Amino acid sequence: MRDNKKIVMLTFSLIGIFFLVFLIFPLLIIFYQAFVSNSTINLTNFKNLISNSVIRTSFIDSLMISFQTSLLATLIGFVFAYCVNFTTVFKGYKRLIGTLIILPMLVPTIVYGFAIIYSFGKQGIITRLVGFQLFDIYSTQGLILGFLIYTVPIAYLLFNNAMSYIDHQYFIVSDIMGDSKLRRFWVTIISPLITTIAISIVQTFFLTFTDFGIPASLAGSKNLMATTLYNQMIGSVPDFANGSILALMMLFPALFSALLLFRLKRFEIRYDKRRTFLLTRNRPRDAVIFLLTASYLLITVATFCSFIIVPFVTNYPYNLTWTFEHISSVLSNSDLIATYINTIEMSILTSILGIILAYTCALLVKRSILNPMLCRVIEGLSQLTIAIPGMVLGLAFIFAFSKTSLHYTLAILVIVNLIHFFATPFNLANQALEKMSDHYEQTASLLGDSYIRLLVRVIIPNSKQTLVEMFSYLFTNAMVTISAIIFLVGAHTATMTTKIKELQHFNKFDDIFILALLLLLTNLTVKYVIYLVFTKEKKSFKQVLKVDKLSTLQVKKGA
Amino acid sequence: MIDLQHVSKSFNGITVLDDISLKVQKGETISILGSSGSGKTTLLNIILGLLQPDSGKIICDGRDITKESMKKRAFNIVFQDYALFPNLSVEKNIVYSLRNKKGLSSAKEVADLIELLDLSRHLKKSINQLSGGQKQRVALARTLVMKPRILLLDEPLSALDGVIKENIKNRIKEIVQQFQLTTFIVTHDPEEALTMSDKILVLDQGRIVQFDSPKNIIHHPSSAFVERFILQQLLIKRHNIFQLFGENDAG
Repeated sequence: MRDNKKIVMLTFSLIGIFFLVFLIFPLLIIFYQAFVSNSTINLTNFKNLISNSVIRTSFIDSLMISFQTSLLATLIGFVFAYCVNFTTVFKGYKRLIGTLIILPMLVPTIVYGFAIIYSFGKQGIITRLVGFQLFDIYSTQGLILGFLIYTVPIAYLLFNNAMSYIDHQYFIVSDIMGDSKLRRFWVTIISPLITTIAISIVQTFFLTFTDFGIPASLAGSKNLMATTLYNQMIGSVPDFANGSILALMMLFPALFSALLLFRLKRFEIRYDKRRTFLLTRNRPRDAVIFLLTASYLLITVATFCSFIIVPFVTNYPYNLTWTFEHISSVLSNSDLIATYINTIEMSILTSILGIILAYTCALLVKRSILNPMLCRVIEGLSQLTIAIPGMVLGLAFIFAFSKTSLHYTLAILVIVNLIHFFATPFNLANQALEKMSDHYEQTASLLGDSYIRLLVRVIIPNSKQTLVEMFSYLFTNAMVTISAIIFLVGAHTATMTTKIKELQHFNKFDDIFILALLLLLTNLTVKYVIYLVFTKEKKSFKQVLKVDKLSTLQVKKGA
Repeated sequence: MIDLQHVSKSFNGITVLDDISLKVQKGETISILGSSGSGKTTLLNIILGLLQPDSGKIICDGRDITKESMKKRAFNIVFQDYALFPNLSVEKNIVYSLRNKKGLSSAKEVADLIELLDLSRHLKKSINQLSGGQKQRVALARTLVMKPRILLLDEPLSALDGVIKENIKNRIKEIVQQFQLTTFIVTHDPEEALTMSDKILVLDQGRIVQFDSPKNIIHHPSSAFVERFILQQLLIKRHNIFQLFGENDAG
């Protein structure tokens, strides 16, 4: 394959056709829907919509809330990473942070909203515990809390990673040079992290702006872009033209922040080597950091306590007797079981096909004679998939395929996931293939191996660990995703997340929480199985957990 | 100038330094020579003030500084890989400490130092644009701006190659002489130690094997270890070089 021009080009063409049909074509249709009416290009639709004050408000609210969230999440993520990397709080606490902060990533964002309602709402557990409602959950505060739970883990992972590259020798240098404490903090910690801070802000902004789950569950007085778009398309008469314009309004800020992200990544400072030294003990500092992190963790735990309690009592908040009735009713509900199986099926298919797609692309880019220009094309497509919000992609798919036989099939869900989650496994595979010796192919052919045999005997075995990481990423994300598939599920292809959205209509929150628990358990089980595979490679379970929703940006891993 | 008295240090029950005593006069250059694991880096860190000895005292100019912090001792170190700040330019790295202590070095002194280390052409460059030898010189300049009472150099030549090595060697000697600096050089290379310093401290498994001038080390090695570790290496080198040039050229 590597040297056989025909096969290389054939593979490239197949991949090219796949992306043309399922990425480029649907996107073009959105533009067509938005700007062409009566077969002429005009902006009437656009103008009408912009002058609509409801839509304008929701656009501005979305931007503002996303911006506030991104600043807060970055700050909190920083404090957590600082706590883990540079303080001398006890080790058990650091380990607790590493695990607790990541757990929310294993359930869909839509559940965070319901957890907030049941913890901090008028009849919420925490509200009843403290005797009054702490804040209005259907306001900006409620939304921001939800978005924080979603984005703080991402910010934390980014900082934790960057901080693990910081060279402790600079602390010594700064100290000898006579720096004051403030300057020392600035020079040794903030300034090497400036780019990471910027990346974190842009990244969390992007995630917040494009998320559907949280606004969908906390849709009260505030309508954000995601819910406005959803309502536009879900009514009895979906408005395609308006939907497409709203999709573009969501696409452009996302596209812009993604571009910013790619730029920023180039400025990351890399220290050559890393040496750790004994961390200095500083009780007041550690106490402050401990209090800050512990209170945030407490809020998170408080949010999710409802999630554990509500499904196990008879009728929250009126009858609080302990029961397994809800569990058994869900487990005997054939409809919900079918949904669960369908979700697993979709996730497994997404993982397997996603691995094949991403790995093949990486092979083409890193280990074949493919023309560099065409390599750039694949890399560009990968970046494009990062920049497109799931909802926009889902909408584009309806426009493009609602009249085909793909409509309401499992296949279309898998395909939309393949596109939506392409970039991270592709980057993982790229990194793995790049590290391998350039001479494997020559050596193999000198030894008489065919390319396929080389692949099977050398290349694939050497990227086993990466393949498992790719699987883990794809599986968990397929399990918890909602934005891309919300428009595409049919009566027989509902997934856990869309079912949750549906159950919201009927106020069946017991069922919602049980489904979410089931999702969490499934994800943890899969992670655990992966952990068992990895123990041979001496990885800790926490590290396995970390290979998680790197979602739109490939968080760099250690060498 | 500086006086170590019975300094010992162990980590997790393993003795790394065992009863180290030595006296160093102002302006002397001392090489701490030993193989890896001999305790030389630990000794360096104890002199610097980064580590506290388990027992023993450090006296500097008649004052007991054993418990003094690194900052207060006002010694300074150039690390093996220089630890220059990658986000600051060459110039900003050099004058880094002046923002903390104004007037530590006058503008003229800084300019002279830059001249001496031949860095004027590189001032605006970023650290990543420099070669290893240039980085070494910037790190030296950054340290010397602070006028340290004692200069510590951690493997100053190990990251450099061939010609640059000799060049930096001479420059370090020049600076030490000009500033009358008391200097400790940590190294594992006997040739480096013997050609750069007034005295050599040979360490083996945390103990002083010999503390003497280069001449005495060559001609009166105190033990089989010194003979094996230092003389053998140098003899092989000498033999190889003589062979290359032919015995006759040697004289």
